[in-house]
Amino acid sequence: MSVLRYVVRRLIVFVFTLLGVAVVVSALLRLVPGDPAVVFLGENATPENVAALRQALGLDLPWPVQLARYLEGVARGDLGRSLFQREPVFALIAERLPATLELALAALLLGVSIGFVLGVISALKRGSLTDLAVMVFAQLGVSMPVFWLGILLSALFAVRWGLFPAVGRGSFAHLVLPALTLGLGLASIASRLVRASLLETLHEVYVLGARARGLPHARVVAHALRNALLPVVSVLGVRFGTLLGGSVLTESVFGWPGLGTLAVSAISQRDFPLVQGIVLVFATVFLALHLAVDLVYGVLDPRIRIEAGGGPSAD
Amino acid sequence: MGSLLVVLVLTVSIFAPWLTRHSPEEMDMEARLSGPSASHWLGTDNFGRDLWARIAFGSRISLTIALSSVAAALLLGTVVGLASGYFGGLLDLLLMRFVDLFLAFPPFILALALVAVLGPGVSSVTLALTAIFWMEYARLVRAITLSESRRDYVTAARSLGATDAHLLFRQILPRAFGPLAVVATLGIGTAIVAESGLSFLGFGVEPPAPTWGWTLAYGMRYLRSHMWLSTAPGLAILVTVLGFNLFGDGLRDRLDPRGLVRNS
Repeated sequence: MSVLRYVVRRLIVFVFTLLGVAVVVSALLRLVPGDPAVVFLGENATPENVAALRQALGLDLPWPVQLARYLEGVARGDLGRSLFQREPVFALIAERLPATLELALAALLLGVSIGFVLGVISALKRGSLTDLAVMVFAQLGVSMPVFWLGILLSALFAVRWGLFPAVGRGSFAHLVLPALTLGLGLASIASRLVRASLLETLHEVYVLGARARGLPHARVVAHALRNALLPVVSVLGVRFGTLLGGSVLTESVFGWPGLGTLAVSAISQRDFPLVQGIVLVFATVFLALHLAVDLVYGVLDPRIRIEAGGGPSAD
Repeated sequence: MGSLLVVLVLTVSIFAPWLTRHSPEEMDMEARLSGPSASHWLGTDNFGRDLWARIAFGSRISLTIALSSVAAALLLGTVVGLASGYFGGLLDLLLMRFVDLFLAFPPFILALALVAVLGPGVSSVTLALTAIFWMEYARLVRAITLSESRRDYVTAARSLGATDAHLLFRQILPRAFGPLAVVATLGIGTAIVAESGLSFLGFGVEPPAPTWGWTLAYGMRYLRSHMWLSTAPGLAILVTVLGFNLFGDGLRDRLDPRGLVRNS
């Protein structure tokens, strides 16, 4: 399969999946036990108010019509109006999204850098105390809830030692603790992946061949690393979803004014259109990243394109 | 190590009423925010409630939700995976696109959205967690079913008149038990973290139920003066998740020793 056909194919799948996501998001309102309008307004609301809200939410229409309206709105960038803040959902999300992306990207950068260094050291010093320490760090990092890590870091570095601000956004210092909180979990996963992948690659025939030809150790490792990193990139791309989920919790701990804290307040206020919009945007960002990883991976590794073209499926 | 931690947590959970001297909801305003003592092993919170009792009884909520959601996801995923892999064709195509659709959402965000519409409570949280976990089992069982159903022993059994049900449940499914056990064990740890996360945000089981996540969130208000209020429930979550993760890793190494050799 040519690169162009592969890219077009992935883009078509992306568009259809996004459409499916929008359908699911639109159906969320129908899952609310009872009448969503009554749930939002409360049991004492007047029938007129309930009827007006039902109309505003499109609940007075059959679901296919409501769905068509929702999809049409999404295509135009109209995600409805927040019930509580009475502002367009799109504007509220656009205001908060940069903060979440800033945090997620900082965490990704930090997590991958720390994980990469630790993974390489661990693999090269296999069986040593350093290797054991990295593996203990990785196991603890994978098992530790992100919100507790955030609280501990905040208690020590912000409350006790006053090195960084405990809440808010605005300067680089504000970003350090939230990014570290969100990034350390990823660093644990990355260090395990890099270690395992590098250990496997170091035993490949071509690496042994390079050693036999007398190539310096550093060059052999550099060769091995390039191939070892390919599967790591793919897995970390998928892990970005966990990062987005973790960002909701991290933002709550550090009062970070992003999409996560907006989601928490929207859910508390049963502001259904806002919840729907946030879920849709999170899923779109997640899918876009998957697409980017797929495309980069497909371009770098021709085997992926062959599989996508009808070879054995990875499912 | 992993099995030791799992046994420890299960013991605390099962024997919580005998291991604690107070009810998790009993308030003693005179002893509020007191440090560890003979009467209150881990101290008390702002309402004078015993922290150790809240953690011991909280383990019941976390484990009940985690075990139920993993069991439900395992069941649903196995049925979908078996049907998809064995019957193939249009059914496989439709079921796998459905799986892909659920995988298109960041897992915790999907759980949050479902709890947002369903409301808080044990059943809502269990349902939400089931919804974010079942796809992994479906894909795993489908892959195993696809590969096993092409093997000679299945062809032979079919030619001897074995029914689809016999082939699926007596021949193919048992081959998936090992990998499923590993994924499910690791899944329990993930479910506990997700449940605690939902409780931490206030969308899990409602207070005054002693959920670990809510106890931790509440303790955060006293970070400056009483740090142990958030340290103790955090440690409880860490120990439990670590236990299930180590247990799952050990199980995987035992079932697939090649991986152990490869990576050691």
